[in-house]
Amino acid sequence: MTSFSFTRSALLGAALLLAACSSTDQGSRTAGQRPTNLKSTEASLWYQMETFEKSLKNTGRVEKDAALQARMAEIACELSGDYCADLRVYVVRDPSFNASMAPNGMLLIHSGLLLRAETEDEVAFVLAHEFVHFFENHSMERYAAVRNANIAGAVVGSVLGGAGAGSLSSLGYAAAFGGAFAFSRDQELEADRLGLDFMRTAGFDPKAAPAIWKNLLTELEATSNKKKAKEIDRSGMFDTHPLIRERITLLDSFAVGIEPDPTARARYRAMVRPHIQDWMMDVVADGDHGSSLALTERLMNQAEDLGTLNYIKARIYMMRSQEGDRAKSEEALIAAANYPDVPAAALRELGTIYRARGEREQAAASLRDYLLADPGARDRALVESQIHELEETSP
Amino acid sequence: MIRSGLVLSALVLMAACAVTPKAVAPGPVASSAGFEVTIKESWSQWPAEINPATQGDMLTKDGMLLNRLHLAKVKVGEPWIRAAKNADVPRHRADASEIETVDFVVASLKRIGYSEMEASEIRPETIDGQSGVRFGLNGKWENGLDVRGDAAFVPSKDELKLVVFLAPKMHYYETSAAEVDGIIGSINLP
Amino acid sequence: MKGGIVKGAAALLWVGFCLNSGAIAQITDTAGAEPAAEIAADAPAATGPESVPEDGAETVAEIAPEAVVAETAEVVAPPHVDLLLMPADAKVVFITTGGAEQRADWSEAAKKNFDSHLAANMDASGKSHVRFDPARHEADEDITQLLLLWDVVAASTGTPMPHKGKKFDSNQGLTLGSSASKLADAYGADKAVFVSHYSQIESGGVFLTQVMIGAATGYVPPSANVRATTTRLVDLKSGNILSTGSAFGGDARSVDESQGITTRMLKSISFN
Repeated sequence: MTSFSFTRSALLGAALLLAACSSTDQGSRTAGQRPTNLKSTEASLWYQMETFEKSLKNTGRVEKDAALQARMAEIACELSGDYCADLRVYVVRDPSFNASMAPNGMLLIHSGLLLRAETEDEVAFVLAHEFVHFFENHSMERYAAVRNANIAGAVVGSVLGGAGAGSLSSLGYAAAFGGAFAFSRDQELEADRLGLDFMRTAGFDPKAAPAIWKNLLTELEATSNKKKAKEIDRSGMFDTHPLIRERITLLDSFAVGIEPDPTARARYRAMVRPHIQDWMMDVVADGDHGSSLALTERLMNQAEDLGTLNYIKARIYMMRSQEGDRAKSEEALIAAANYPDVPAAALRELGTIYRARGEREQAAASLRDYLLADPGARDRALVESQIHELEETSP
Repeated sequence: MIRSGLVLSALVLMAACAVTPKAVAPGPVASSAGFEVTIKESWSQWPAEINPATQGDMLTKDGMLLNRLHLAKVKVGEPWIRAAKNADVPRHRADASEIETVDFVVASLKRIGYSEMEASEIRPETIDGQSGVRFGLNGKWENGLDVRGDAAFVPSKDELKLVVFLAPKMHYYETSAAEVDGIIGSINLP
Repeated sequence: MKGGIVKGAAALLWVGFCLNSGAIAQITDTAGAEPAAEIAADAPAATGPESVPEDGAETVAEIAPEAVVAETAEVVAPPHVDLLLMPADAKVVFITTGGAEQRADWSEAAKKNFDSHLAANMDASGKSHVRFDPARHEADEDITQLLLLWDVVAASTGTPMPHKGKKFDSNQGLTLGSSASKLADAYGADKAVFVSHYSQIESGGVFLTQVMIGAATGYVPPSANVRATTTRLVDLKSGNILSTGSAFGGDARSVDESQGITTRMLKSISFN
């Protein structure tokens, strides 16, 4: 599998280089534009994306917060003007910092993006960037570029098919299909530049554009994952994305700010507040404790949601489990208890820490407090048995 | 270079194909997870080598998406799901609390195609004389189909012994739930 | 997200190639979806050598009158019919040297052909039938779940299941369970018919590439052309798959050839 991936990457890379030599500029799209030729690649892509979009609604990955979905759709409309009716916006549960726009107008916003943004202006920049990819037909250009030059999929597929790999030939095509949507460096920079224009026209603060990248850079630099740390400044031969630092410099030079709205952060936080704990736990579960801590601490800088965020911080320390982390976790849990939004589970984690230290009475008291705070706790039976054990009584 | 890479790929693939699912008759079933369970009906067993998403064996009666019983061991610091060495994925910890281990299982399932996955009725359970935990699972498969399941784990030395059953909520879960309950009760640790 | 989809497909194919990739790889698709209906409405009729004449399919459809379920506010039991015809699920993938794409026009033509031919064949056999109406059930969680279960059940039928036997079709006798009766209640039908079709059609460029590889290496890769169609008959009381018929080859885009596929496929199915 490894060697296959390597071979595939090499072939795909070579094909992309060749693709760069041919012009595939498809111009800008007009509002309401749809594929008219059913035989075209655009119609095929559109068809597949519509199928995907219909199934997406069933998957359970679309956030059920109607107000949040509506506001995101509103922002997309404000940015896209006449193209508003062409877009359909979905906030999907995915911890990665990302958004994507399909050629058929399906705009996916990852919860990981909304978690990391601090204002609607920051979200607006990312959506404007994605809208430019759509407006400028970047997907179609990229797909055409690959098609023009790429025989990698066919060759790899055919040879492996001949070697007895059967339907693995489809894997070559699947990879080529995915690769077609990795935008070129020029397309990314164009999307940044024009995206700023769209957000300025719609009345959003362009200074938010470099801000969201700066925050992401801080989070990435704090990573505990050595491989990721090495990749932050990697500039490979086939690297299509501009480096984050380069991007920040460019955006800083283009972005002329407007009068900042002092209520912007608080308004945005109020919108995402119901989801912060779940979205943060999605991030925390993946185990990049350095980045998770940096993100949590940044969100705490706003001096809101400190019960929830201190709880998250405690969970990260518990998971990281380095020397001294138990004490830090306890400290964060005690801090969390000072705020009205403290999750009931903070009391359970405190009880767990006391139990591990052999402080039976204190542990039992915390666990009892947890069950009082959350009478319908899904782990009631487990916690009750722990209390009985701590109090040395039989269940 | 390209051709040698392709030949190597083909050899690896053919080696994987040498391992095939096999029928297992009612009675004790050994697994690569290092513990035994006892089944009352016939199942098919997918050895770990051809288990695409997770470490360990799987038993199924009708197909991996219709009823799947994972029998796994997860070493400290390792993920339950298949992942690259340095990937950011949920990993088992030696000092994890019971609820953290439940969260680890749920987060792992979210990484292999399940969504809205939640644990329920988390309760203590003695498994082959050792203190373990049982819980229910509810969520959706990636196409949106509601799924239900049962899980049990017991920390054993430096690894976690784990049993997870998942099936569509409609028809398939109820059909096997009682037998799976018995299977979990039959776990025979080394 | 897209990377994830590709990785997911890769993971599925990895197992699939040892087992039954076609069946397993289908799980991400959703039955009952009507993709690109609006594109079809807006687009002019396809022409040229690759297009499929649609007049024939429409003619077949016209001679196959169907029972209509009246929409009333009251809950009225629908009239009894023998069969509920589910919308055909067809994917026709065009493989070129630049990649593979599911062709909108070809897939829609194949669906239309199979829907029409099936209805005509049932008429000829004297079987009364009603067509499933996806729009009627968009907000019906039970029916939605049932159709999602069908996706998974249909995908699982090709999985080898050694404890059921060594034959490749040992896992065909799966079930939807008693929830299938929800379809019987909604349409008054005893049984339901599900048709699925998958084909890969290579371009001339791919053929040329294969010839070039043959010339360069001495080995000519086999064609990736695949054409398979399956019909399954499901009892709507028990949910059991009663019978399965398959046909390989044929061009589903063509009205005439798809009629041949349908006839061959239905030969092994007993509707009584």
